[in-house]
Amino acid sequence: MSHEVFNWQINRKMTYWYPEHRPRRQFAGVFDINKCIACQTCSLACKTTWTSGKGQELMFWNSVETKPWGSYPTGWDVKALSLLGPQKWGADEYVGATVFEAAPKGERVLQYQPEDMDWCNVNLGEDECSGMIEKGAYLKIPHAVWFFYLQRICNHCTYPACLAACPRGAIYKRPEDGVVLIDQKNCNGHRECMKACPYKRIFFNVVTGTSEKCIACYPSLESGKSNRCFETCIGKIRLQGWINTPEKAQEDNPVDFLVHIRKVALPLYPQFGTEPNIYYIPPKQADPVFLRQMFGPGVDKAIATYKNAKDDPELLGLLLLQGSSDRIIERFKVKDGTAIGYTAKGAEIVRVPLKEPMYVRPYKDVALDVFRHNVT
Amino acid sequence: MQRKIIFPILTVLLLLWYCTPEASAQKKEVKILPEKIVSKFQSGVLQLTDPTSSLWLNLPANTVKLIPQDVQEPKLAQPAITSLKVRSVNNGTWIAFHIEWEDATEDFNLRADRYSDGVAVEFPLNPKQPPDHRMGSEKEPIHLLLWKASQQKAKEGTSFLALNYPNRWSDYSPYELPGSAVSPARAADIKNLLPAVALGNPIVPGTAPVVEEIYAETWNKVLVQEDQDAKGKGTWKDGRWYVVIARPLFTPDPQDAPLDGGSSYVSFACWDGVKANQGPRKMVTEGWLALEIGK
Repeated sequence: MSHEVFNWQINRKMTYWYPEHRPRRQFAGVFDINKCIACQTCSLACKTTWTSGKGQELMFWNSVETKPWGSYPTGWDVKALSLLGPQKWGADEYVGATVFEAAPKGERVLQYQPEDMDWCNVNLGEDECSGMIEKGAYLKIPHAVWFFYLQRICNHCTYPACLAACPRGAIYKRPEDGVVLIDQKNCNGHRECMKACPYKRIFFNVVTGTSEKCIACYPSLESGKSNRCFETCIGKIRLQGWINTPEKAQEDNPVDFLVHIRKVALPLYPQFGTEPNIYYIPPKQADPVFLRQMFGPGVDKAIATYKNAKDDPELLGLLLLQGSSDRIIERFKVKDGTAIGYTAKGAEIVRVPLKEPMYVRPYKDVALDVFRHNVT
Repeated sequence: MQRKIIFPILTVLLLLWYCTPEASAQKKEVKILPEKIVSKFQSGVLQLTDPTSSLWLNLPANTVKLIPQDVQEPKLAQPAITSLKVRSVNNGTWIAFHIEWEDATEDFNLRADRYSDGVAVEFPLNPKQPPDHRMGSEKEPIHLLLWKASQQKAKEGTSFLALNYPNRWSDYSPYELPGSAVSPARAADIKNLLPAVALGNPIVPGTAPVVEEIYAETWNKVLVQEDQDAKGKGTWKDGRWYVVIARPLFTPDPQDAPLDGGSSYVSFACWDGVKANQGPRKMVTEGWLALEIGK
């Protein structure tokens, strides 16, 4: 039972197990890879909130892996890409096959089964760079060797492979916010979802015998607050909001602005065809060939736009609003050197200056008759 | 004249459509096999605790052939268990099926990459008009009795957590503080940390019955029944599974297939864990077998 649906990320129609049925609004996030320091605060915030139960010991709904060598579960991306084969982009669209179109006869999705050991090394390859550092190496641009951190949660895809694969129909996408959930009452633990998700964001709990996944902190989401991994990010790399399809993009919607207007944030492996809803501002210093494979052909332009942020007050303002509040910023405006974040109804949430004001105190405090200096 | 031309064209088009995969998926495939399972009447208590007992093995057996489930995706690509030996007895109150098959590995473990062996006995809810034997069809349900090795092991006390990760260690665990009793309030918290348990998912290992009674209308509408009356036991010995599955002959449960008429139909499904058989990836009989219940 395959249906024809439109996937704007690959700019063409494709086949999917169910008909196209977009939610009323879609949860989305933008992660700025350039700002991440892999402190794993997000991972632990998620862990302590949601996965501290029995059978969840090896489960990290949020993880941060080092690219190019790190991965969780081990080798997920290499295996998924190898399985899919060559992925070719044409001038305007992806011309290769998606995981749905490449599914063998008798399957709903192209898939592989991770081994149990693959889930046992959450931080494998941390901080390993792309190559050997030669003796006498020094910092130069572009970097001779590189690595960057990839922050991963469930992508709450528009066309979830997990949902397509579940033979019990126990996975659903909420119409009110596009969050993809596994019904824990009806999951039968077949693990078809785990095999099908090309991003490998479905986990198996040996105690309950069911599959579990990121729930996008929906209780927070319902009250207009950021998810735990967004809220606790000390690098302020994460921006949470709602995304529209390109033709309905709104310029004052933060996610729309970064994804559709400035096109500085890109989906991860759009060629899989699931239309993932977590977007990444690609790292400036990594190998562009590697990045094009990860984020598609828009990478070079995205990086150029990002580098130009200092001369683009709107973009700069929005990047500064990232992580500035625990409320979801649904509208934004940049005016008179200040970026302002609003709720959907226009109530102001937060404002940040585009340039931090600098105050210089006189060298001598006349009132106390002392000099201000740093010598103690 | 026009009618004479249009009619054959429409017939050809209809025939062509009928050969498309979409059409074949919609075809109602009800197949009745020539074999018959006769459930022999035997007064007294049925032997349900030892499937390797000579009381069972000395009974005549039907060899039932299995084929890969190839109707609903995900299909089973490679054949697994290709035949079962089936015996049946009843004592006028309960009916029991003894199912035996060759399986070189005993698979009961549950973890990301381990699947359980299992077998199911299935009946139509309406014996006069049996539906597709694999999972029933819309408004034409079937009644499944599913035995899984994993559920039996869990019921016998096996912890898959301890089995798979014997050296696991948690710095702090809110549910297992050594030497301290768990308060009722803490017990509620612990339950809430396991959403499937808190919501009463009937497949949770250790809580699920050894033989699950399931009501299915289609592949997507598979419900674990509220009333669980079935019993069973499986034993793996020398490369063979011996499983007994039993249910009452008469029940008031509307989701149970009626067997009080003395005859019905029965079909079987089997899962081989080592070959990652799970859910629809299973071996099934080619159709229904007639079931005659001796009195």
